[in-house]
Amino acid sequence: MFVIRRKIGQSIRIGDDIVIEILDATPNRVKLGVQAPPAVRVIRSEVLVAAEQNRQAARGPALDSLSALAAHFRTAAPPAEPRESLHPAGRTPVPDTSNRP
Amino acid sequence: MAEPSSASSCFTTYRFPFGIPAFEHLTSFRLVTDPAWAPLAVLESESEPPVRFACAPVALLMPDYRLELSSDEKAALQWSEDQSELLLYAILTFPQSGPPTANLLAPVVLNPQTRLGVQSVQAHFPYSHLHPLRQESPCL
Repeated sequence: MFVIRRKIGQSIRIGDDIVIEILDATPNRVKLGVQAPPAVRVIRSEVLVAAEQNRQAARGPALDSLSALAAHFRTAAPPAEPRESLHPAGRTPVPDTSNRP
Repeated sequence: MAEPSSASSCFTTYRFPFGIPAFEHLTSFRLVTDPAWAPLAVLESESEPPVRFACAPVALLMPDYRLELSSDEKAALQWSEDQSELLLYAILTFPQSGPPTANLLAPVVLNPQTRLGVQSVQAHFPYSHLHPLRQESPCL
């Protein structure tokens, strides 16, 4: 792997038309700006993980498998009202990550 | 997955402006609920043929789950903190061997007020895309 040290405001170039600039850095995160031709797909690696997992999940179980799994939930936990009891996000603030890298 | 509709099923249609990873072209999904699978649900696209996912409420799998949304995701949901609560579902996978797993890395986030949804990748938290649903778990 090619390793290079860069400071905020500096950049690296890949090939003739891809530029990656270091916009910001904290102890835990680095904010990158990527300039690339439209034909070059720029994507976070985790999105590819989610995509592959979605492909596998779309094969899905038979409905009787789903019913059997649901029965385990019902016997181990009190019945949940789908509209009222499934909202961890609503009960805790949802931080805005827009300014985070 | 077999056709989930039955006389006791009901559904709500959500629009996903970005689609979901691997299915970006699908922008309209039904959240189908049925007493036979409660508290689980089925998320199925309104395409032909439909793409279907089994889902579980995230709160049942991990009560202290934390969600972070980007400004783009909030805009796509037309949601802000002072609005109604969001629905969170984890997509389930049923491998040929081993227990079913839930994708806590990328939950499906639904705004019931606007009927908009996104699948939000929570890369900043160490949530697994293969969270096991062990049958000995207290939640199961």
